[in-house]
Amino acid sequence: MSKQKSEMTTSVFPFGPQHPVLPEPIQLKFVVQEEEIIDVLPQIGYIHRGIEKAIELNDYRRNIYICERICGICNFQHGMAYSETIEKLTDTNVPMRAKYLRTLWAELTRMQSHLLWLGLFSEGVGFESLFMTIWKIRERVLELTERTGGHRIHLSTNAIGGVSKDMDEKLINHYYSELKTLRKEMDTLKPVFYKDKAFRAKQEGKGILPKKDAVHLAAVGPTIRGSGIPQDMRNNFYEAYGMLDFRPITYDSEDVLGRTLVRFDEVFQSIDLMEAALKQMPEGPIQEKNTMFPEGVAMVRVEQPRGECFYYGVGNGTIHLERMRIRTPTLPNIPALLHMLIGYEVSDIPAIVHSIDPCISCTERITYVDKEES
Amino acid sequence: MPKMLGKILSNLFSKPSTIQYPFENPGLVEGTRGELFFDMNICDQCQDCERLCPSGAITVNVDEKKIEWDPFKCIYCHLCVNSCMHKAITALDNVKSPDYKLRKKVFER
Amino acid sequence: MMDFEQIRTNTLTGTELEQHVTNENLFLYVNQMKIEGARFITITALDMDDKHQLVYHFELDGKINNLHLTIEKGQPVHSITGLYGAAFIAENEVQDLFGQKFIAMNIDLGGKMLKIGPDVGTDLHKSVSGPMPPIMRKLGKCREECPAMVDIPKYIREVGAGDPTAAYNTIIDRAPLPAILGRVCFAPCQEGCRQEQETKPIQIRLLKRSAADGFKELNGSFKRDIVCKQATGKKVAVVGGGPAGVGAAYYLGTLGHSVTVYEKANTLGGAMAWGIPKYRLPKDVMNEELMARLEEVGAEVKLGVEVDDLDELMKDYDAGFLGIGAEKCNSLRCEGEDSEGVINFIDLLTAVNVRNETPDIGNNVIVIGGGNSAMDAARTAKRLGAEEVTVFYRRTEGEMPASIHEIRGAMEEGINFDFLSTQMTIIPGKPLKIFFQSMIPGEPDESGRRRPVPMEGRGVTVEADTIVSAIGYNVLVPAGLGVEVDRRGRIEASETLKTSKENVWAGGDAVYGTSNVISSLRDGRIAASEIDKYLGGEGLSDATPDMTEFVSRPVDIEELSELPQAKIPEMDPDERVTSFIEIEQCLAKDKAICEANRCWRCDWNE
Repeated sequence: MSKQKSEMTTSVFPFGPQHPVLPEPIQLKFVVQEEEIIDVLPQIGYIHRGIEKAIELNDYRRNIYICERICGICNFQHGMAYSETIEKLTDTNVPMRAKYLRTLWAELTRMQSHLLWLGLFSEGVGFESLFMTIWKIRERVLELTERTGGHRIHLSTNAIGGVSKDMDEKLINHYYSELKTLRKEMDTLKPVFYKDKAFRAKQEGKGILPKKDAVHLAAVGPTIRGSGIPQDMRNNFYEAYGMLDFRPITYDSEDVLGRTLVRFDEVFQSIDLMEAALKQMPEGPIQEKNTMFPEGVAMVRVEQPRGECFYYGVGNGTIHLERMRIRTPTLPNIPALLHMLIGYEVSDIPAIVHSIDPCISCTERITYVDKEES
Repeated sequence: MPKMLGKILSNLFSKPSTIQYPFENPGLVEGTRGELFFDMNICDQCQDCERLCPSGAITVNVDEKKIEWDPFKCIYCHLCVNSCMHKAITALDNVKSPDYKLRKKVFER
Repeated sequence: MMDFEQIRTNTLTGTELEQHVTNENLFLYVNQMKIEGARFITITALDMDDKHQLVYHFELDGKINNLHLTIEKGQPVHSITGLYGAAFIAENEVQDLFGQKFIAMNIDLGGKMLKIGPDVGTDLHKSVSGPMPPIMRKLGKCREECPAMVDIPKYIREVGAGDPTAAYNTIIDRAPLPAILGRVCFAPCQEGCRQEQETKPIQIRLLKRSAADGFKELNGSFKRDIVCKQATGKKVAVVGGGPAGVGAAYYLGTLGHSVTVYEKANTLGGAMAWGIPKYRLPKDVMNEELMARLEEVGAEVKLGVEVDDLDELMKDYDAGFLGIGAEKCNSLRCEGEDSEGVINFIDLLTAVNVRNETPDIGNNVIVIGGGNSAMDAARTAKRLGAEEVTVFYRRTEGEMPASIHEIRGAMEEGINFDFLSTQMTIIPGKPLKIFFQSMIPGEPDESGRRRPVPMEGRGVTVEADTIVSAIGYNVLVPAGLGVEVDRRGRIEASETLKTSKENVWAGGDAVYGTSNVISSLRDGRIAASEIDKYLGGEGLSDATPDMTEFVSRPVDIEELSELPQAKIPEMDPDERVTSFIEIEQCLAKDKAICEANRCWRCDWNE
């Protein structure tokens, strides 16, 4: 017996804050009509920590450590963006060697983040041993991070006016050999991502984000690069990117597969950039101290693994900052996500939600703190 | 079936491919930031480490010449190690082991 | 509140466009952005007490354009989600977290941000608690040891930057005699320096001298052009031209009062004039600096005038300060101390330092005492031609109150020392004979030093041409002043240095017995502040850490620790004893800058 169209029922179910597929809590209420998604209602705000308020209460030197802990995976770029903002507010010049070192660590943590995402995505679509293999490669990257920076995740090597740790000859040679090994290991994964039919079937044609909509909705990062638009903050040549040969990677397919391949290719691009930077790194000091309190207004944009991160800092000539506004890349990707989900089936939800690389802990930092308690 | 059998036998008699943690220690990588040790014979209570610490893990008691360090608040950034002018703070080469109570460590002469 | 007009435009992405809009034409500007194809980034909200400032950020061709909108709290703003659909997330944030209402929003998440209200009712939420790391600025151990709280770290930085004028002014703010202090101060700051632990404290006294001498080299004299406060019409009398008196006169002059200094000797300086020998403090330098301070504030000086009746004097003045010093020598308390050939150190030093005489004290001189005055007397005796000079002290070497610098200088010049000996009897004659009883250290007394106890049966009789007694001196207050004295003869003064007379303050040696130059200058400053408050002014400010000053620590700690300490440039011991020429010279300019940059900047504020 066939049902009349008017008898098809819609139901609402929550893809709630706790879910085995979701890495971080966000609630999406799906309005479904028999396996087809009609509408999505987002609800965010589950991990407030009051970071922007804490930045105003502390002095500007301790804030580097607070900013690093906004996100665990893209922590180095947060610290770097904050240091750059304060360097602009205090008119400090960064020595060249410090710029190269920052670029090295930024690309290293970008590799770590993309490998983490590739593993989680593979598990989300059902390929668990691929997840384990990719994370084994990530272990090698983490050990390299620990050897050069001091810790596996939170490097804490940023300082205002440069970096606080240097690399000697032995370490650089070790770095070269590790990069070669990494490249060889990543080459073994190429057939899976480029050619495997079962893997691609989950991604091709799903979650389409047309070019015009992507621009209108102001998406950032690999989300928009997977739709063919070459938007990448590294094109603005901050830090040492001006000295390295860099071109954004884009794919024209506008679907989940495009975004996956953008991230996969960026891993290889990171290895190339790191090798070039190591060859060109000059000698010199690694930190130059600032000579005044932060004053004025400064804006910095940095390319994090997930997109463009915007820092807007206001200083008033004392040891405390007046205001620091941080807009992380996942926030503008959420409207794009809502647009992408409509019209697809419930079983496509994990793949599409993963494809914007949701890092929700970055997204919520502001708090409404009661005046008596703060 | 025969192919599987060979694989099963070789898996049965080979070593585990993981490191058996409590009995074997994989060792630390060189350059890891480890636990702190305060040498109170050199310290002269200038409170520089207390003012620099981002998380407020160090409390200096100037009158009684004691330092209280909270290893659970510490973020192991080693700012204090690098900025102590008398080099009274050194980093040991082990990371802080877990504990079942939040306790602070007191260093005195 | 900072002025958003002065905006720094140096982002790496090129210059920005800043545009101030009002609530009415916000829509027009955003529409123009959309037509030009700009991309929306985010909205920032700043809380400015009674207003909100919203900043809309757009990106156009790689440049960032900002629209600033200032709006009263409570007034709603039209949403821009009609033009830029993706702005609903940013507007929802600002709406929920700053309480700013937006009308006509596309998607209203409607309060989905987690609000942390006054009572949450659950332990899962942790508020900001626990000790926050302190934001404070320390004064620095050197400054805390200085009796006058001179801003030592600041003037060390100024000397290190090659600016002796600024350093000179910084020192005078709290201690008006830098050239004198740079030669004679006992420098408690150097003992407080944290680098003493590595046995390399900063040579602060020498840096003070190079600031003063550098200033004189640039300007020709110690006199500066200063602006005093408006004249108040009040008159203050200062009795005594020593450090306490000149200090009080200088500070009162800067506060606008008219000051007259009465000094009973024929030269200013007090204990600095008669007590400190010429090889430590040349008298022309001393006079020059004292007169420079007094001329800068227009104070009147009356030399050779002794004040007998204070009440008579105070009829013409509104307030007074007594800095009369101490000049009664302590007696030896042994038999035969009135014999010929036994002199006290005040007479000897006054004769040599003030009247420029060269008395004949023979070849064999004995000095009894262990303080700085005993060292001065012994080294003066050596320079007057005595071949054998011996100092006898009743306790051990480590317990001598003289500064180590002086003891070392005396030993280098060939002066002998004899410890744990107390004078018992003096037998008159030519030569004099004096019997010393040997002592051993016994129980500690109230100052912590061990009281010497006679060792029975041990003693020594020594011959001498002259015996100089230098065991201390005390205050002698003339009765005509009419102020109350305590049981030791010193002027009784409260904590704010006020005496028993209503409008008279006192300070220096007269109140504390034996004091030193820097403590007397501190007394002068305190008294000047109190007198100003009494006469209707505001007084002088105290030493508190200034949080608006930016001081950063040096970067390379390793390199800094390897620099050696600068040596004091002084004459050879063999050359020294032939004359009264000044022993120490000033540090060379580059060495002074190097030494000043060795400072660890314990008062950092970065």
